[in-house]
Amino acid sequence: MWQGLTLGQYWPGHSFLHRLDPRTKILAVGLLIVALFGTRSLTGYGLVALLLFWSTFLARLPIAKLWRGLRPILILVLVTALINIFTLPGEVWTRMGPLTITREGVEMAILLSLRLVLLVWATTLMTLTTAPLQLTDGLETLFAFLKKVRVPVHEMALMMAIALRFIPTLFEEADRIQKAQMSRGADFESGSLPQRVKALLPLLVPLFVSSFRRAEELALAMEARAYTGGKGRTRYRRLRWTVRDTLSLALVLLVGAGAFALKAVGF
Amino acid sequence: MSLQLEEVFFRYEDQGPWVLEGISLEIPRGSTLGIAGGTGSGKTTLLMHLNGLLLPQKGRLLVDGEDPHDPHLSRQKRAARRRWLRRHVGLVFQYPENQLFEETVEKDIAFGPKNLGLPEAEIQARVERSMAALGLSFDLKGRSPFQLSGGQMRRVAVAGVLAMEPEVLVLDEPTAGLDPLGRQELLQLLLTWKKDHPLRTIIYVSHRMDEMALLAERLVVIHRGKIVAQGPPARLFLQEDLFRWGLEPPPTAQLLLGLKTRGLEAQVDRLDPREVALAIARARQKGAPCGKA
Ligand SMILES: Nc1ncnc2c1ncn2[C@@H]1O[C@H](COP(=O)(O)OP(=O)(O)OP(=O)(O)O)[C@@H](O)[C@H]1O
Ligand SMILES: [Mg+2]
Repeated sequence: MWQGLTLGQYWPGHSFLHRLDPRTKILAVGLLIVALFGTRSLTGYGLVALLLFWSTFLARLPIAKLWRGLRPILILVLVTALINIFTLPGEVWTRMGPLTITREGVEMAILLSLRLVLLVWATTLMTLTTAPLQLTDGLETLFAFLKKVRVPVHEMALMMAIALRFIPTLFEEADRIQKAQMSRGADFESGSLPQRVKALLPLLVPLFVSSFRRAEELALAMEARAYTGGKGRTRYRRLRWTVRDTLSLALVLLVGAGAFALKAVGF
Repeated sequence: MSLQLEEVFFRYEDQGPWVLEGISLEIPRGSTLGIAGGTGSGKTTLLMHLNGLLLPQKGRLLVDGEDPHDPHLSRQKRAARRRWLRRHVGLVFQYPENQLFEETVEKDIAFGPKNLGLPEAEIQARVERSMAALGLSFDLKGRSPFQLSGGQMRRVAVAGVLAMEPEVLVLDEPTAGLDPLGRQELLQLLLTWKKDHPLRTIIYVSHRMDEMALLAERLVVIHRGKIVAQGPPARLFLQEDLFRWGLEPPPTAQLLLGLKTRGLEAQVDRLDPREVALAIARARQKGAPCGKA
């Protein structure tokens, strides 16, 4: 029951995208987000989509994986689209009872849906091709300048890494507790949907408690290996920036700039 | 209640090898069944079918002749039957830490009875009764089950299932991690439970054949997801080569087999040490060749 929920999890591989420096991928996603929010032109979005298509091809991922990452947001996309179609004022196309569909509404719906899909697509590509540890290493290095103003960047990155690492564990744990409770007469299957959701509540307390227990064990294990925080720590894995990264980032930059340019000339 | 498996197939991965491959097994009401098999032979997987935690992918499970997963039933009806099944088949998990989840020992043992909708006083009585039966001190009631020793955890896990007073008690290697005394006590407890409730069923998984000899009326050996032998334990131990399935006959059986190759044949029905000793003594009195040695 919990298996399908591990979305956007790292898919090991050696493709071009996998081998890019995590910083490149984080910056690229950041640039694309700016481009998607800063421009509202269909052609601009098309440009971004083209780039994503190509990257997906380069990443050599099973399409099913990507689809699984995108599927959960489809409902969100649909709802946003519908609200926009029916509520925006403007040039009326058709009337359906009390509802009107306007040209502006349809355009907005398409734009917003596309934006959402492209956003999630880009981030899913990143998380699928970057190991969680790499991702946090990348973030830590990118935000290292904040250490000067005493922001605990290393600790925050570590927190993120641990959180990511324990997501699958959490699902396994939920599965275990559910099996144990079902074996002793707890009922997760019958009743109406609200009833079944309510039956999940007794699952949460043990899940919480067991997470704290795990945290304690992990802290003990880290202290046993003399972990004392970020200061003075050296790295085993070093990030390496290569020409490949410079070129890739330049390309993304170009696409972003292209999107803005297209908007400026009114496409 | 009686349980029956009909040609059950199961695997964990879609294209993977079958973990259960055509298991057919009848477990009449009131019987004591032992299940043995090497590591990874599919015992735990089989047990999870018996209380509906896993569904057969081919074949079916019959509970008193009815299939709780029958696709012709409505969803609600199926859910009701499965709930009924889980409340009457009590499964003690192989690893107690997988079974325990509440904050305190008391709450954990009370979880099952609570789901049965029993009154508070009855729940309390059952908690204390099953703790006492397993030799758990009441001081432990307020402790977290995860702050217990492995053996204590095991006892709490068994107590939690016993408190439901299941009609079928299923135990997955319940003596693993217990000291010899604890092992003896648990086996005695099961024997007493069985004697007090002759119509209830025990299904017992273990690697230790001496426990099987003591407890099981019938022993089923599974190997790579198939049943390869079944019958009364004493007969299997003396007639089959258990080693090829990764099992070892109990010392008493090995002794009898050894004596037999030297020409001393002792007749026994049960393989507990006392009875075997008597049988050997009887055989020697008849003037067997062993006496000359
Ligand atoms: N959750 C699971 N996912 C995938 N494969 C599994 C899972 N659980 C068990 N298996 C596989 O199924 C097979 C049978 O496992 P099972 O736990 O039933 O064996 P077992 O007879 O209980 O062994 P043991 O004596 O070690 O407890 C093993 O090959 C195991 O690797
Ligand atoms: Mg097992």
